[in-house]
Amino acid sequence: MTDPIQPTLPQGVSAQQFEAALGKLRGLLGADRVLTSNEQLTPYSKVMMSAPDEEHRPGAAILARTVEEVQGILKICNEHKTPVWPISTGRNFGYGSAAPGTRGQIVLDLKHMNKIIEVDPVLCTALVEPGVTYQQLWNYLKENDIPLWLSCPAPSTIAGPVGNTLDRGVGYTPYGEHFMMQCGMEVVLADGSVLRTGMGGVEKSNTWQVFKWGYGPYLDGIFTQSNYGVVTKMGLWLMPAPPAYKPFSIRYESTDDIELIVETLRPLRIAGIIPNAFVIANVMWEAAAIIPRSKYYDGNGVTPASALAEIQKNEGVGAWNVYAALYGTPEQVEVNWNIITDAVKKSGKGRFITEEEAGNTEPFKYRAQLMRGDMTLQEFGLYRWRGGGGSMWFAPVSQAKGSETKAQMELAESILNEYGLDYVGEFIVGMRDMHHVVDVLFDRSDPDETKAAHECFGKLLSEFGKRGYAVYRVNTGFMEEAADLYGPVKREVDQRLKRALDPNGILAPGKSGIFV
Amino acid sequence: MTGIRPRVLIALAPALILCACGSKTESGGGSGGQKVTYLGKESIPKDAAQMVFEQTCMACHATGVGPVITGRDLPADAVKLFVRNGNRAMPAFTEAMIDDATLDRVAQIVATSKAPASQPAQ
Repeated sequence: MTDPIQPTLPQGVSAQQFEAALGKLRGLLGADRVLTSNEQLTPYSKVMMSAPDEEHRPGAAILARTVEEVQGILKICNEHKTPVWPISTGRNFGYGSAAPGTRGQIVLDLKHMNKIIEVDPVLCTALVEPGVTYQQLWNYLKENDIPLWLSCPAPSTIAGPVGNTLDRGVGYTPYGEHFMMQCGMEVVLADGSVLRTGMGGVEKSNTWQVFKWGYGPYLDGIFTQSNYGVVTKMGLWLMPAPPAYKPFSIRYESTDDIELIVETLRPLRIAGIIPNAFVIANVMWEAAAIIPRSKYYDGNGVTPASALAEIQKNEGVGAWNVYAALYGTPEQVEVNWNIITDAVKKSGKGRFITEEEAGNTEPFKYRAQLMRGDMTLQEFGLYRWRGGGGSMWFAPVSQAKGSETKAQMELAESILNEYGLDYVGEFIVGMRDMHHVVDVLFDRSDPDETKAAHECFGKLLSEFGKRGYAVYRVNTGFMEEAADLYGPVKREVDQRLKRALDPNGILAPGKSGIFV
Repeated sequence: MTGIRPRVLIALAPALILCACGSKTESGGGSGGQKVTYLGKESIPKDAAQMVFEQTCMACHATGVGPVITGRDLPADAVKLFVRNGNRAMPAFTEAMIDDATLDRVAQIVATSKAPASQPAQ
């Protein structure tokens, strides 16, 4: 830890400014919590995007432990006009990981703020700090015999609820729209003031984690996917463990079945018959969880249709694979199961696979785990599909209509194939929308393929944008392009808020395309 | 365990592709149609290093996602290097995520681990 290097400076910050800020930060936190060596900063620089690590290399990383320290840090950063990039658990794989949006920013690492402040088993709520991981919360619930379930993203264990919710990530249970299940925040603003949203500002209130809206303008949303404050506490709702749980899969054999799948299942989702954020995963997504692509195709470019047909035949996966679950009393589950099986039967296609049939096999097993908020990393198999560690999530929002999902699928596939890349796609079904999530996988050790992936991602954004489709979230290499899709007025309002709340622009400049 | 040559590290790279966490959710079934069951608090290790090993490393390296790392006499220093730097699809782990002292012990656990009975020789 003793190999100091020339600091990587944030844009517009002189070496003197930067060193002065670091000196005061050492005074506040102690030298051991101001990380500047190459060895210490390397883990913060590892990204999966097409941009080189160097473009997102932090100038330093600082480790805060308390709200008061966060206040002190922001005071110093304001004095020296030096920006910080706050992270919670520092994951966000395929969206930028722990690295700052632009080179030189100081990572404000909140991992050590990892207290589970409260879990209320009666009201089924939790209040946690940003460094808490899903695994930590899962362990806590188990150790204390609290029968509550989490909802988490696929890399559930090392990610955490605060970071995932603030980036408006999703999970796979009935609580899968995570921001909808968030209740109350504590936010340190750039001027050091501490805001508690919702009911949190009411003296002696005990309703901070049970009523989202409070009084007056609802503010929590402006602290998600933004750079207006540092969230230091967040409330969330947890799901009571149901007496009965029935995960199931429905397998479809043709790519064209996507229209029929959506038209068959959408009414069941909107009516709450299928209560969870279920998924419709394509053949390569499904196969990636269990095998590398090289088992069937060892060449470059797009995986041939013949290989995909073989995979379907030999590995027992469909062209599309639905994963959903039922929750409740056994009687409730049985009633809804009958409704769903009848609807699918009437549609004329689709083969059900139950837990009894699947047993301990993947990918059913990990899907069943995710739909009950258990810990798994099986979906990391996506990253070995093609190898090389390159991944960028392209995630346009789609109406939950069959014609729309088909149009988006075909457009994405044609653009990806143009660049020699595979369409590895999944639809996560929301309340009325679908998150169409495409993992743009590429070999990051191959400069040509990385360049192609970069160009491909830009084209995906622009071509989808021309048709009125925009992403719900994007990696830190394409934030400007994504923000542009939402129009100039939205961008201007974002900036006005930034100027009002953070006039020196010290918080995560560039996050979601927002600069002071 | 010091002085590892770069060539050795390159050779080890595929062996340490992925490392991340997961719970000890397991199935009591197999493919015989039994109900899937889930482990509770008894599955949570008390020791911090053992917890990282079981809930983090093994979530990928014992599930077929990442390559097998147990029972391979991997040098502890190489394990630490890959944990801190990541490698391709394997994420990097900062010292805020796992401190140096715990990482030392995790690396020893990996280095001295035995291969599971069903693990093919590598």
